[in-house]
Amino acid sequence: MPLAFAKVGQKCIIKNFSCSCDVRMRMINMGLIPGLPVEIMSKINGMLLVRIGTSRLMLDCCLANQVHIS
Amino acid sequence: MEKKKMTVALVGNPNSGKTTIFNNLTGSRQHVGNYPGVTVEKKEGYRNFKEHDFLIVDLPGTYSLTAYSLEEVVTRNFIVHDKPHMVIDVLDASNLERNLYLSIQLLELDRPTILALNMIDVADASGLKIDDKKFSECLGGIPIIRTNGVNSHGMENLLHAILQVSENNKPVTFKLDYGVEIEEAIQKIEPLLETLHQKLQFPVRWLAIKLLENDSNIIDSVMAIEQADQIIDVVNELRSGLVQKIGEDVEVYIAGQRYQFVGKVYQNAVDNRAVNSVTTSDKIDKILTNRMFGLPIFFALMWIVFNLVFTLGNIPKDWIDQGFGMLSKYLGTMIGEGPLKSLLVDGIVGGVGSVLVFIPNILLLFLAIAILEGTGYMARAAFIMDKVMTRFGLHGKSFIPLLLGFGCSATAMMGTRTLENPRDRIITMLVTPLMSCSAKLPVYTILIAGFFDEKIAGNVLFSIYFLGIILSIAMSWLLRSSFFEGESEPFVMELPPYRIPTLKSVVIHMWERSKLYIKKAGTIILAASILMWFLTTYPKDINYTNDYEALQVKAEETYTKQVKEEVLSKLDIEDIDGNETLSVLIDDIQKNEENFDEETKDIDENSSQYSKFEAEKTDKKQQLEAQNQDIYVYAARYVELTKTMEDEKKTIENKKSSEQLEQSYAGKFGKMIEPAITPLGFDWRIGISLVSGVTAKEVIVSTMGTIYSIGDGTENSHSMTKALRNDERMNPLVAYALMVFVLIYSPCLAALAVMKRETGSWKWPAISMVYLTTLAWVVTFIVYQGGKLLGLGS
Repeated sequence: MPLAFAKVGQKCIIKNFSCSCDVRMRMINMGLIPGLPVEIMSKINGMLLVRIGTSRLMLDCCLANQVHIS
Repeated sequence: MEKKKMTVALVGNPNSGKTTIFNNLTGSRQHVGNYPGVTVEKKEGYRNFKEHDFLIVDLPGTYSLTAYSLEEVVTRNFIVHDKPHMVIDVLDASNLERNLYLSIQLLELDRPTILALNMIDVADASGLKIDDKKFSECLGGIPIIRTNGVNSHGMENLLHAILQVSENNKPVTFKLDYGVEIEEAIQKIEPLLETLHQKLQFPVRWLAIKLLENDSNIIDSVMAIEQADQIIDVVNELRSGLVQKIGEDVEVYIAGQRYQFVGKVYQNAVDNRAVNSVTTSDKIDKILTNRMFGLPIFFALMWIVFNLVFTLGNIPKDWIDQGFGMLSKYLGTMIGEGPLKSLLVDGIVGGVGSVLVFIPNILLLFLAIAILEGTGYMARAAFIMDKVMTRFGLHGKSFIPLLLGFGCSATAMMGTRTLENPRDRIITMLVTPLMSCSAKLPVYTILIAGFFDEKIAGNVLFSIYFLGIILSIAMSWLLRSSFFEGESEPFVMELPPYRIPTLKSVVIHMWERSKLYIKKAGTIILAASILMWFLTTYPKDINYTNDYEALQVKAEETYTKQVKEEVLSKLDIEDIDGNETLSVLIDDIQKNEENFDEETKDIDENSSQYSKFEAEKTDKKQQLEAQNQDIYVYAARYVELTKTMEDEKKTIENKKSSEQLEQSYAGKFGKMIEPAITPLGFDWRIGISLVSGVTAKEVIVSTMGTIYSIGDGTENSHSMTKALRNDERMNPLVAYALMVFVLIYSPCLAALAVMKRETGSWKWPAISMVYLTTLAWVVTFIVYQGGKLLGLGS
């Protein structure tokens, strides 16, 4: 299921991506790598704020739709 | 140890406090690339420590060393090609895992490296315990220095460490094991890379890994070398084989191995049991990025900032105004009449002064932006505004350049570097000038003061800014849907924790950006003011329609005769000094009038304050009359005659200047373009001012000053306001139309120059100039003609 559908407060694990190679690598560079647990901190106007380890990342909904979690 | 000269590179994640450390190490001895404000350019600074010279280079903040952004490539190229003696990796100690992902890639570049655990105070306070020794062991024995950029703790230790490491000269011994399959592949590629290694200078193992990762930058470099395609073929074969064995893309797998290693180091060396996963920042964010309150809070904050900037900033304005007034008066007395005086007083002091008057506003604006950035709120703003921005075809990250555009378009365009997609960058740059920059403010201020009631002044100003914002939304939507179709860049950005910025860093930020504005004043505006002065003052030997000299003389002669007849002969004196009481009384009457003018110059004629001053004046007048009953009438007549004569002389002078202006170079040009701007309500004089504004928007005001013959050179916006009102063609509608045109048309030279730099060609600045000026014409036409139809504009 895409990250975009997760609820605030939910904890999940990144499975894979459904986007182009460079977008994918860019996300990996930022810390979003398959196998890593993320927690949804906030959702506002289509933007997602997630916690990965100790860092906080903002993603837009377009991106969140391309990240798949379990 | 002998005296050394060393180059030190600072590397690290954005938000790791790298720049603060850079500022600490180099103090004011910094040299920034031509356009400061955005940390993408290479910054260099100097430090002398224990007789050794250090050249410190602040490389761009990056999260990784792949080839997906210019910053990463610049960073790794610098480290390997420029061979700094030391690399300092600055880490945010509270966010180690992510920061370490970069660190291990740095270590693979085989250059002497030191790790700086920065923001150690925050980490300590949160209960994090780091074992420096274990840490260092896991990473090949490199030195770990604890630092706190905010209070400069650890700076000397860093410098000491640099000296020690260079003295010891131990080779770097870090190697990350990527697992059996990858290591096998690396073994197969390495022997083929000797030539490559010599040409590209990167370590052999590193090159092998990059080739397996399909690094586009390295592959391009390889293809440029003869007979290197064989290597590519081998690599591709290995890659497809690997995908079979490991079950996923090689790049992703390698990244995963890195993260795993980082995780192990973290587990070994860090104890985070006492740390709360929900931080104070998170709690604040619950409110500030709240679904319901986030946007309103944001707008409220923006409103507060703008109010502060414009009200607080206006307080010193009068002082500066007066300062320049005094300067030009002083120059006026020092230098005799003639072209030099005119150039200095009208051209330079008048021109440049009208710009510098706005420095308080500029400083405050950039201070506010520096504070918002320093606290970390800017990132939240981008988060909140993203949906709004994407609705109109912009990118969330466009928000910051657009906000900066309210200060200065040129600076704002440099801020577009954070946008990775060139399409987004160009649209943002094309739309930024519509965020009315601070240079246009003098024009608005003077026009509003001249033609609009004080009570609605604020609303009129706001309507202009608002129009700019609406147009920018419309234009970006238009541009996006017609010319720049395509996928928008995915937005992923780190949200740094909230911080209390240090005064020092805020001031440095503010100053860097304001410096640009002031530099503009010293260069472009100065040059443009001189040029405009020249174009409007010459040619001087023209044929006037009237003999103005003769008219002046005649006015004086009439005056002398009248004074003699009506005052002097009646009192039987040769001149007014003949009767001391008389001359004293004349002085008093004149002073009374002058006082009144001075006190009421800013006040609305219909206000109660004005009536109060008026009553005071009348009282004083009656007092003087009562005290000097016999000679009062003569004194009053003298004052009256003098005033009439002076007014008449001024009118003659103005007519003369006006004719001279019409026949000057600038005037001829203005007349030429007049037909194009008459439908907008403008005449040739406004035309000249607008053209001059292409050099820099501030010049519009100084040109208008020259044109409306503020020949006495006082940098007094009030005399300009009066002169504007006296021009029959000017009325509130024309004034508003003028403001609209100024809001929209071509950006200034500085902004165009930055656009060229950022896009690499003159194509986009040219397009910007044409489209904005055309848009300005169209919108102003609608405003002016529409207003006329509605009967406004008397």
